[in-house]
Amino acid sequence: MKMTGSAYFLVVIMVTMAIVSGISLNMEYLELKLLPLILSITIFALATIALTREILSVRRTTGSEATGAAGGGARLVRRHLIAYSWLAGYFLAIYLFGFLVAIVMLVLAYMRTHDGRWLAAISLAILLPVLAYTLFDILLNIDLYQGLVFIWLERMTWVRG
Amino acid sequence: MDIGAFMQGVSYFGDLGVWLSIFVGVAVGLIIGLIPGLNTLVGLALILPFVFVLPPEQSLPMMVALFAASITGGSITAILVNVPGQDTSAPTLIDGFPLTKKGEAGRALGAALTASGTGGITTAVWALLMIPLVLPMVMALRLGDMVFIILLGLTFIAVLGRGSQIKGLISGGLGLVISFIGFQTTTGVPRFTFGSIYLYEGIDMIALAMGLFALPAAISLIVRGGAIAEVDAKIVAIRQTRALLQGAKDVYHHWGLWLRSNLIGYIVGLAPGVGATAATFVAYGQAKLSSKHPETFGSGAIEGVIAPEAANNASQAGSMLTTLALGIPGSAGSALLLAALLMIGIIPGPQMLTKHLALTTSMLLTVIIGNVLAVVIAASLASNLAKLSFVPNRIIVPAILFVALLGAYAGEQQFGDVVTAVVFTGLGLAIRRFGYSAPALFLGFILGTLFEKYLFMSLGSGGPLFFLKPVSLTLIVIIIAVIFMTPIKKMLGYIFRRGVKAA
Repeated sequence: MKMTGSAYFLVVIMVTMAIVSGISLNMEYLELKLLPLILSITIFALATIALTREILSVRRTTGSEATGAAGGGARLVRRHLIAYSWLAGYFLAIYLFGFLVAIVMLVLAYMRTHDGRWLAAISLAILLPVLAYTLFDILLNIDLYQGLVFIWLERMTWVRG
Repeated sequence: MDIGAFMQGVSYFGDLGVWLSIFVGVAVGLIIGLIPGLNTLVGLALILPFVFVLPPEQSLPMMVALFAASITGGSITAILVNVPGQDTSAPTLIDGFPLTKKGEAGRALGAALTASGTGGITTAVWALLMIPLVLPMVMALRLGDMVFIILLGLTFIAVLGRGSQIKGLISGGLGLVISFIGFQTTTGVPRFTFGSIYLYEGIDMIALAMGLFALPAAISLIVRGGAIAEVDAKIVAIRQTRALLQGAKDVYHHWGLWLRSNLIGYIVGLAPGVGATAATFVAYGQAKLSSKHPETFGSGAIEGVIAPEAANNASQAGSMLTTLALGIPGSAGSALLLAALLMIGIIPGPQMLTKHLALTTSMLLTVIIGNVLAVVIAASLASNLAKLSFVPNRIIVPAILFVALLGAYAGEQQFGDVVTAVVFTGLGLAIRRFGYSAPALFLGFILGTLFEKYLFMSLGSGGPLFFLKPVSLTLIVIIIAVIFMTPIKKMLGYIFRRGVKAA
C-alpha cells in the first residue's frame, strides 16, 4: 500500500507525540506533565483518525489516478527540495559570512540563475544591504551578525595586533 | 467611555513617529496586498520584529495600518488585473474585472475604494462606541473563564478556518505543545530543552512566525517560478477622476446594500476564527439574492463590487475588538496582532479596555486613518500600483528571504533564532502542503503559556471543579458544539437523504 506525503506527515506527528508523552510521564511535577500528556495523547488520537481516513481515501483512488498523482507528486517534492536548498544555502552563507555579504551572494546567484539581468541583480544586491545597514545598524542600533569567517578574521587580527 | 483615555489615545497622533509608522504600514500593506502569493499574514510576520525596537504607540498602529491597506491593495489587482491580490478580494474579481473589460475600470475601482474605505471607518466608530457595552461583560470574566475563552478561540480558529476540522485541531494542539518548550511558568523547571541553553527561553515567536508564514511563502514563489500574475501585461490606466467619482456615487445610491454588507463584515469579524474572506463571500451572496437583477452578477454588476468591499474592511474593526477585549483573535491576522501585544508584555483582556484603553483607542483610530490613507493613495496611483503584481519572482524572493531571516535575528539578536526560522520553515511547508492551519498552530503557540498559567491558577484557587460556574459551563458547551457541529450536520444530512430515498 502506497503512503501519501500527508500520511507520512501524520506518522511523524504520531511518533513525535508518542515521544512527548513518554518524556512527560517521566517528569517530576504534575504541573510539568499534565498538559503535555493530555495534549500529546489527544493529538495522537486525532492523528490516528486522520491517518485512517487518509489510508481509506487512498484505497478508493483508482490505480491510474494514483500513478499519475504519484508522478506529479514526486516532481513537486523535487521542486520543493530545490527551493528549500536555496533557503539552506542562504542560511549557510549568513552563518559563514554574515547578513550583508550573504544577501549580495543570494541576489546575484538567484537572479542570474533565473534569467535576471546583471544590472537588475547588481542594483538589488547593492540596495538590500544598504537598506539593512541603514535601518538596523544606524537607525535601530542593532548589530548585524557578521558571520563566522569575519569573526575569526577579526580575532586573528586582534591576536596578531 | 473614559474620555480621558480616549483623548490620550488621540494625543498619540501628535507624534510624527506615529504618522510615519502608519504611512509605512499603509505603503507596505498596499504592496503586500497587490502582490498575489503574498498575503496579510506574510506582511504582518515581516514587520513583527519592529515591535521590539519601536514603542507600542508606533509599532501597533503600523501593524493595524498594514492590515487595513493590504485588504484595499488586493482589490486593485482583482479589478485591474483579474487576479485577487488577497483571498478577501476573490468575490470582487467576479464583477470587478468584467467592468474593467467594459471600459469601466475607474468606476469599479471608485466603488471598491469608497465601499471599503467607508466600511472600515464606520465599523471602527462602531467598535469605539461598543467599548462601554463590552467592558462590563469582560470585567465579569473570572480566571477560570479565561481558560475556556482561550480554548474557545483556538477551537474557532481551528474548526472554522480553511481545511479539515481534524487537521485544524491537530494544528492548534501542536502549537500548544511547541509552547511548552522552555521554562514552565509555575515551577520554573525547563521542559523539552534536551540540555540546550538556547531552548530554555522557549521558541522565539518572531522566528516561528517567519518559519510558518513568510518563508513558506517565499519557497512557494520559488516553486511556482516565473511571474506572479500570468496575464497580459496591459493595465488600464485610470486617468479620469470622473470615473472614480461615479463609482463613489454608486455606493451612495446603493447605501442599503453597503450598510447590510458592513454589518455582515462587522458581525463576522466579531466572531472569532472566521475571518474577512468568509464575510466577503457572504456579503456577495446576499447582494445577489437581494438584487432586482441577479442575472447581471458575474458580468459586471456594480453591486457585486460594492458588497464584498464593504464587508472586507468592516471585519477588521470587529475582529480587533474581539482580539483586544477577550484575547481571542477574530482572524488569522489578528492572531499576529495578539502576538505583538504579548511580545511587549500586554495581555489582551480587561486591561485593554481599562489600563491600556488609550492604546486600544489609538489602534481603532488607526483603522480609520489607515483606511483613509490607503484609499487616497490607491485612488491616485492605482494603475501604477497594479504593475507591482508583474514584478518577477526573482526580485521578490530574495527580498522576502532577506527580510524574513533578518527579522528573525533582529528580535533577540541570537543566531539561534535564524536556525529556528529555517527549521520551522519545514513545518510551515508541510502545513501548507497537507492542508493544516498555520494560524491555528501559531495561535496555540502564543496562547499556550497563558493557557497553562490560567489553568493552574484556577486549579489552585478553585480546585478541580473550578469550571462549575455558569460562564465556564456555557463556554464548554459552545466549544463542544463547535467541534461536533460539522460531524452532526453530516450525520443529519445522511439520515435525511436516506429518509428521502426510502420515501
